Amino acid sequence: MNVSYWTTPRLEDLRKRVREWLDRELPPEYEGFRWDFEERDEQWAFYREFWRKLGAQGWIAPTWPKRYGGLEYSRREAAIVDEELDRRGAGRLAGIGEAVGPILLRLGTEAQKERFLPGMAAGEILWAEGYTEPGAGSDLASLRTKAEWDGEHWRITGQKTFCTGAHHCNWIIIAARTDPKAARKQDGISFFLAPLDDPRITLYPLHNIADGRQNQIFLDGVKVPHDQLVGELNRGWQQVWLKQGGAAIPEFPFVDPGPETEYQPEPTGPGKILQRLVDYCRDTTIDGRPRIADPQIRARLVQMAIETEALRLIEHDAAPPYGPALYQAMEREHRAAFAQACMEILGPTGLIQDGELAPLAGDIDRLYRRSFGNHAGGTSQIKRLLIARALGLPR
Amino acid sequence: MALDFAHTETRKIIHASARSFFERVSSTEAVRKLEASDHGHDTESWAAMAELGWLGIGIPRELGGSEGTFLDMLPIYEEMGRHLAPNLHLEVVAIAAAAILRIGTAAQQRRLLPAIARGEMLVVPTVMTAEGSVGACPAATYATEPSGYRLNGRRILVPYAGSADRLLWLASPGDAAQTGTLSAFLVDTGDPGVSIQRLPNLARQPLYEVRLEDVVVDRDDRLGTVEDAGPLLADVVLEAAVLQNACIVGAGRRVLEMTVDYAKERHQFGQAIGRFQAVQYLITDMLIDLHRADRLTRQAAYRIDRGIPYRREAAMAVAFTKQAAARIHRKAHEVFAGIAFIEDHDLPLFSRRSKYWENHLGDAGFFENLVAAEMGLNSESAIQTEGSP
Repeated sequence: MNVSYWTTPRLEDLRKRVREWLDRELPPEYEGFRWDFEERDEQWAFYREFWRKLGAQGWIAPTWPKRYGGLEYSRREAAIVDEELDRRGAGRLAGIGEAVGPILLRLGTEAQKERFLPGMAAGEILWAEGYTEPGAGSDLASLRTKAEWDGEHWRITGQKTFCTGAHHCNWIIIAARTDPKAARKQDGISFFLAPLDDPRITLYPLHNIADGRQNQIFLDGVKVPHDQLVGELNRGWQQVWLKQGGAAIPEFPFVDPGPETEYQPEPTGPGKILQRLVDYCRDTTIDGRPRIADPQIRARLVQMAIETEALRLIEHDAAPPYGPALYQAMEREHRAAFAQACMEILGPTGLIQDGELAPLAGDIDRLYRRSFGNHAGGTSQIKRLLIARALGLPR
Repeated sequence: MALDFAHTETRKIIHASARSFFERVSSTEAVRKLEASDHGHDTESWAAMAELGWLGIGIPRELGGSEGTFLDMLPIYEEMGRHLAPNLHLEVVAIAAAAILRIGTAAQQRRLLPAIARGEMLVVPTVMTAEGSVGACPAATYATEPSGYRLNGRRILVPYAGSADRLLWLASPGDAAQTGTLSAFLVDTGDPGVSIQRLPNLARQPLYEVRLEDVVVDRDDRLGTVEDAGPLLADVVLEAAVLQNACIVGAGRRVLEMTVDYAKERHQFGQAIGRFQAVQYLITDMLIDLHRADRLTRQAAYRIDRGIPYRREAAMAVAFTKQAAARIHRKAHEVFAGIAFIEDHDLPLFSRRSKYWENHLGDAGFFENLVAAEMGLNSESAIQTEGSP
């Protein structure tokens, strides 16, 4: 059993390099960038450049094979890079289509890997996800976008929606139906790669309540060559969506004879917000006494701390029982409850979004509005059904 | 950054042998029998545990123990919980023996620990106060006399006092100057000044009110020489509460299994009730609570075992697990509905015992206050405003 974090001198060297690089390259005004909740031009201009610089260091996809632009880091080394990026609140652009890297590593042809992976690792290629449709959200397999072979190309026609950040991207992965006659809807789906500057692709903005922009995407007979099909025809649901089959993604071992010492990573995410909230409650008064003197507020802070701690342990669990759905359900529900609890602690002044009177510089307001995006990647209700199935409860 | 919660191979072996042991000695029939009995204590299985060396875990070999670490006790407690075994090990080994080791003099350790490890002496601590809180109790005091100490007072919810040879009686000085400090005394339950009264309780556990009237003990029956054993005792109790968590998790796992099985077998409206999302939500809620309790508990136990700071993590684990226990059992009852409302169903055995675990050594609120203290939330002005320490 090992419920600690361990580091070595060589890992600390890496940490120091990443930290110093960030000190040089990331000014404080760009900390906390979220690709999915940010539309200010100056932020995006900065981050496009930052992302290329990060890619030049090899730190966008450090665990990839070197021939695809990676550094062949082990997971431990990659974790150090992640920790430092998180500590500084450095934005990550790969989040937009981060599934595409592993998809190509598992299912891509060598030509596809050579064509796309280096550009992704260099920060030049950003992927949009063309999955969800107006009539196919939780029930993604019922999608109706179709891809038909015309003798020379696949012609993709249909409508996608809720494509977050697609307007910032240059490529899109599209889930389309290639066998409308298949007995089961899951048995006729394929995945294609297409450039977003294609004239037959049109984007319409959908602005969400958390300052992010999603998109409706109209695909009007988009021509896609056969070598831009990923994985096997009609097996996309199993291979791409359910992650079955394909080559093993190369992993590089951690080789470091250095002595291991324990360390405590700085809290990130909800843990960090909670710490700031505790400080806020100590430093501000209401009705003549510090907020933290209110036993109800203390009780709520304690509950939040315990639930956030439990979440942290389960997020980093090397061997989660019942699959990823357990953590995913918990995290989504925690996100919503935590945001709610933060707002309750702030009380009425939590309404103020900006300016001197905005508590925590408006960060809780943003956290709260963003928490309604916890359906992304599958709702907690769906994850609960998956857990139920993993427990053996009947469909 | 991956955390490993799995037991080592050695601990897996301990786990397997604990499971088969408690399967044998603690069937639900045996549990019901003990609940209905006078003393709630099974001397045969206690002797068998002594033979296995389980009463000596954490006690050094030269004092008759079987060595073993704190983490080695975790799988045993999981199985004790799963099989609703008597809670005696917690009292005698995890608290009394641990207190003797941490506070007692070398001579006291030599005098007491070998007999405890052999199963020949039952020493139970008196942690709960006359008001149902934890630790120092205004109603339990001692006066220093030329040859020893005179003990007076009462404490309640003392487990197994009716079977014990000795009590580890926690008392504070009778004079106001030293209010709040705590000492532990070895009291012979046969002493005429000791009266023991069983308290009928929801969990049907052998819990007692104990009154001491002018019980005089020797100097040497005061544990250790430290003036205030309170902080050390608080640590022992917190660590024991983490082990008690393992009981809750072990029992919770079994309750979840029972509930899933029932949801698959019970048919209404032409289908298994486990197909209904309302039922799936209750069950997945149980799993999420159970899993969080398990991971928080393992983290706390890991930190205790490694000798690194653990109070915050342990207080969090205990507060959470006690609350989770209540939710898990309530939801199980929701799924079982009518049939588990009946006495002879197995679920009430678990939910009643759970109520004991939720309250023994302090309730969730007590441990939440510990978390608040560890988080530094208890500001000076807060204390002044509330007017209580």
